[in-house]
Amino acid sequence: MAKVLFSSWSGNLIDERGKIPGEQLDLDKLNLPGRVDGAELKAFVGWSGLVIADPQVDVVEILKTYFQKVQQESCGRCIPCRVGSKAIADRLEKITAGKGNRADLSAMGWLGRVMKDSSLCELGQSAPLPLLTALEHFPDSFNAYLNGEQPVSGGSFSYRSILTAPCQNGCPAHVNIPGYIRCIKEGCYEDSLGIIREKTPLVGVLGRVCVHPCESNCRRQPVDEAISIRVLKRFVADFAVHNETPAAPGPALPADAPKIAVIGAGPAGLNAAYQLARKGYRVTIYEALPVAGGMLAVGIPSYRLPRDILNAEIELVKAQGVEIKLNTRIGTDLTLDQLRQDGFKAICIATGLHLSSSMGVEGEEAGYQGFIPGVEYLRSVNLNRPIELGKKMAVIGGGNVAMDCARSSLRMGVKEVYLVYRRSRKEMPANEAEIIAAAEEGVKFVLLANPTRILAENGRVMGMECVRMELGEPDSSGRRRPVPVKGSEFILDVDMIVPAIGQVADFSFLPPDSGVEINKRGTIEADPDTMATAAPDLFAGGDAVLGARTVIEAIATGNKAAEAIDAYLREGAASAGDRAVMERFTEKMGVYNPDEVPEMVGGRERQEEECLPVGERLHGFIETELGFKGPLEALREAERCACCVRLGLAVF
Amino acid sequence: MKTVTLWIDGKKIYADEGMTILETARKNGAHIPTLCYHPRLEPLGHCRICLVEVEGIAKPITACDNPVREGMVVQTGTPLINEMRREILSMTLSTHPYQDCLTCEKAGACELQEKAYCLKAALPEQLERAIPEPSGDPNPYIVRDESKCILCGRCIQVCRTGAGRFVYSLEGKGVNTRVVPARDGVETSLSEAGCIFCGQCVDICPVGALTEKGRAAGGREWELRSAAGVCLECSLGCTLERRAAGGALVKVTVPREGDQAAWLCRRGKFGVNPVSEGRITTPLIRDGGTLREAGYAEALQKTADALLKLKDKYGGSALAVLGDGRCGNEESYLLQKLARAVLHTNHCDLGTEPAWAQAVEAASGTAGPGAYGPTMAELQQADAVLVVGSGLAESNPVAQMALQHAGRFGRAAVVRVGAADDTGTAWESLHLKAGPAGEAAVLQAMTAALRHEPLDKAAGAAGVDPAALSRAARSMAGFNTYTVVCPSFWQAADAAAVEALLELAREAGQLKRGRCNLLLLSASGNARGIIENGGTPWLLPGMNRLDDPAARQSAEALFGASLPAAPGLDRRAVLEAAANGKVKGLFAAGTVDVGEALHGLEFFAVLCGDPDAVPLQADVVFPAPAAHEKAAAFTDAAGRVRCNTQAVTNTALKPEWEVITALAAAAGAAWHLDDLAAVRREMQCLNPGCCCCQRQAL
Repeated sequence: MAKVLFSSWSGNLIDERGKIPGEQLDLDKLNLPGRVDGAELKAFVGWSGLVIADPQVDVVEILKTYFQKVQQESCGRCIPCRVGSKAIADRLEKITAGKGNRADLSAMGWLGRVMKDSSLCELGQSAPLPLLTALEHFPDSFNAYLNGEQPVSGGSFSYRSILTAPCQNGCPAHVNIPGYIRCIKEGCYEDSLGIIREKTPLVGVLGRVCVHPCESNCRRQPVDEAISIRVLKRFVADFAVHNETPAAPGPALPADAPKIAVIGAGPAGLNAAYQLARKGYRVTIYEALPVAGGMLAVGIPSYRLPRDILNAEIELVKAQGVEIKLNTRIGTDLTLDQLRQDGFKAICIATGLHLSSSMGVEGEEAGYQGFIPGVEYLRSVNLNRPIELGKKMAVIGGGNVAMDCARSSLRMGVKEVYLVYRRSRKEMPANEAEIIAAAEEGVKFVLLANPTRILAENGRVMGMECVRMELGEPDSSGRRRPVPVKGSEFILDVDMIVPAIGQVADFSFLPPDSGVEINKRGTIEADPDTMATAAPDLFAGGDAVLGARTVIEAIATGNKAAEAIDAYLREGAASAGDRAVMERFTEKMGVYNPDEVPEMVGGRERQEEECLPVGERLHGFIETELGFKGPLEALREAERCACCVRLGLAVF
Repeated sequence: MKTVTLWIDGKKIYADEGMTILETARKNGAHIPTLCYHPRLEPLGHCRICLVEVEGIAKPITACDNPVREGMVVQTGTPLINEMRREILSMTLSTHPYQDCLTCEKAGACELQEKAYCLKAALPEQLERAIPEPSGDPNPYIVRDESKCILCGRCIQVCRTGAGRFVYSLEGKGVNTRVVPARDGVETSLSEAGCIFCGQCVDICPVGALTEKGRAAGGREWELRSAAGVCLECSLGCTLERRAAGGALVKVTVPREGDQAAWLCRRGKFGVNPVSEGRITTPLIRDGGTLREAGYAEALQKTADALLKLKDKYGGSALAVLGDGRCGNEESYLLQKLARAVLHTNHCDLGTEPAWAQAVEAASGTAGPGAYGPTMAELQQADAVLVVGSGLAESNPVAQMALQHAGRFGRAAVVRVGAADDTGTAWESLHLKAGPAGEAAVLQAMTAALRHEPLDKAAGAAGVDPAALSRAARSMAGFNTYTVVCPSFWQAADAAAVEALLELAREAGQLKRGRCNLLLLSASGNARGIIENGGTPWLLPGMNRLDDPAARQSAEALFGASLPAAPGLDRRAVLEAAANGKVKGLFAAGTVDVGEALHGLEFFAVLCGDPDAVPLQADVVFPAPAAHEKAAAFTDAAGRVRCNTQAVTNTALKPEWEVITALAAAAGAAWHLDDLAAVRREMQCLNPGCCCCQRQAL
């Protein structure tokens, strides 16, 4: 395990240069990966200071490289970062060339201070920190050069740098959020859309349904409120729709472009296909359902995601040259081996979770009329398949699928909808906004209750017996474990029951000798960086790997799979790209520091999107959230962004 | 509006919530230096010169883009802040060739030079940068010198939010960052990048990186004298600041004061020709086949005699006075007086579209005096704007700019009824393509939709999509909505189309007593001033109808002559009548293309202020001062009177008012109008507030 020699990271000064290696702190304690791609980390220079792990590291040399990188990344807008970083880099260059003097040291100290305290964005504000630290704590390294001595080490270093931001690092797909918000701020909505489309075609989709982990990584939170990143994304997508901006066409594929098959046209499959097509592959998506979109089309109801928005973005994938074969179930209509024989060089499995978990309750398997598992129920609603609706419905579960089932049912005309959840409202895994909307629309929450028995008469659901629960000790997920209260059984008077407590995959299409390993969570075992399965030409992504997760996580796996498939076909082995390697690095170390209090002026109100009044929502599946009122609101919101772009340099 | 209390440099200050620290400080006399800030733009925050210290925040913050907050304690100039400002300025100078100050056109008006002087910045060595030599962008208007660019970002922003174009973008990183014209991310020439050469970037550039090509060596900034002017390139009547030195116009800029959302277009900024060398400076008289120079007295007498002879022979209805739509308010008044009171004809059309004039007459009648149409700032802040017609980018570019801003940066739904427009920038929220039934049918359908009449029927008749019609009607249902009518609409508009337009405006609440949210645009420079001052065949000054006996009587009393009662012919009809031999004598103000009608005319005199376009087929030519050489009032399309003052004095030429008055005198009418003030006093009698002295802009 690599040891920390010196660290000023996050303002905590650790100087163990005098200590014997055994007493020194492990690198791991700073959340820094000791090894990356087989190489040992020797130092890290970045937005929050300096970490040295190898005594051979020449601080002056790595700072010079760092400032050269800053200069290469400086956007050029503000003077202190644009010119200051160049002036510092030039002085470091001069010093390492043996031509420096004392005046250069004091000049760098002052330039660093001005740059740190006056730059427009975090790149310039944070970059001087390691320099100022080094000037204070490594005077000998500088003096050695000034005195004409040889540097501490003649060793050569290799570098990997990454430009990221707390929000960007918090996004599973690492969408360049500061970049696209700056484009909005500057009025270039089309360019903003282009930046997001580098990562995904599903911009309007995410702008509506993303759970926006980015926003909980926003540095503005302690100042006032997080930036409304999701709605900004929606704004650029909607602006393009309103103004009929034509999408850029995909590359022209050569006739002999390698063929790749994707199984499942959900967000993971669509993204894998989109990215592969943009890299020049001929991609065919096989979709078992009559529509593309996966859970976006048959899970998420259209009042949250209008189908014209989804379909336009699926068209964008097709415009890249991707072919989508609907109503084609792998395993029944075609086998994996047939695909291989047809010349597909790699296959990406993104089949999702389309079966409901069972509750283990008496009567569940009896096939009563009025009992429909949640996933199946939503599929029928979304595909306009006939459903015999009751008057009173119980939805079981506290997640987003449960909310979708409950809110859809109100729109289908079910008079009373109960949502039965075994913990309290606080523990519900669904998005807060969804829970609030469900309550506003009239869903009745039956909390701390769990079904025990389904009551039926003549094969029809006539009610559901539940038991009251109380919260005990926290379980492995950190939530307090619900425990039944003996003798507290009660009957809920319902004629329809929709359990939505979880989803499971159907991997019956995989032959026993496929080589794909199914883990004990019931999902495909895949490398988290490359999405490669145990079979060399099979990759996997989305819920089929992750379990029931979010759209943006599915997208991230699709992108990773695409990158690894590209490497596999070009180099014979699946690997993550350079950028992705550093993304894993910053994911591990974390870029957002919730304890930090940023020096910003607060009091700029977060712009909220417009919502349909509750009274107008329940007539059919009309969209309920409407985005920003207009460009002005989007501009005001974008102006709140402090652009916390940060540069990290790992030294190996 | 909530008020917040704060302290700036120890002084207790009250400010409106939402104001920035900079605005508040400046309003209260505290000086904070800035470099990239411009009052007409949203704060950019690029230069970082406006740093201030705020108690409780460890780092200095920028004053330009941070709002004031309750209880804030601001220090604008601590020693540390001043030292940092000097350093930042010094950094800027290390990437700016300050040794060029001696020869730079901008010297004296350069904001960097000014800041360097005020802050006593150190002069550093130049940093090594990869900035290409100026390649000489192939355009006749703008010179770019990248070496001087300090990347303040103003040009980029003004191009986007002011002009609605996206010509400039940042290219490169670090000190090698450049502002370049680019198309689809690839550097190219300005015109390839979609530049419309409105020159706003030039006006707003703080240094000499962008300058007017035509001004080179025209004079140092401190030699330039300013004169307020009015642009006559279209009916918008944008205000200009003309800058002249040594008896010559050096450049035209957008004025500092006035409508902060109104910019200039290429024609306004660069369209003013320097007066050409071979300019006519004395009257000309036809002598046989050629024109010869003559004195004013001779030319005036010859014209008066010829016109009176024709009047005696054929009657007043054989005479006509026409204009090219650019006459000032005073000339319009005097020309119509000449026509009606001296020549006894109502064939007086100084150049407006008849359908436009009908619409303006009706709208003014409903709204009443003092109800002006929208300013550009009002359009920018609208909730919805209906645009009727097409080709605005060509006909009235500045209105197009305001609308693009409203649609792209404001809160407005911009609904356009008309043919497809390809301006290259997305800004319309909704486009209702007019079917074969035309634009008027769409307007009627929208009125029906606003009245909640069945949508399908209305949409069917107009040939538009019912859903789109419904959306359009919904967006026009708000209070803060406007209608802008493009000149293209008047070409095909009949009385019914005009009525459809007005009916929609009334239904949408845009037109009623005291309220006129209509901007009726014409292609003619001073269309509104002309119609308000009698330059229309059927209207007397003050837009009083000629067929109203009371109005006619008061005009007769003022003019001291009886006026013909029958409405006159408009320009097209006059030229037709001349071609058919019914009109024999013509007095034209400006460049009126008489075409075939020339052969039917027995006498044709011209009074022309455009030195490059004097119609040389005339029998007598009176030269007149160019727009920048004369004092006159003009009225913009919204109805506001604007003042044009002399930027350059030309003593050789008699101003138009003097020529017309002298011509009347030569024809035996003593008007006793000895100066422009006397003309204006008389005009007020029929049309109060027709001149700048009375109805100043805003």
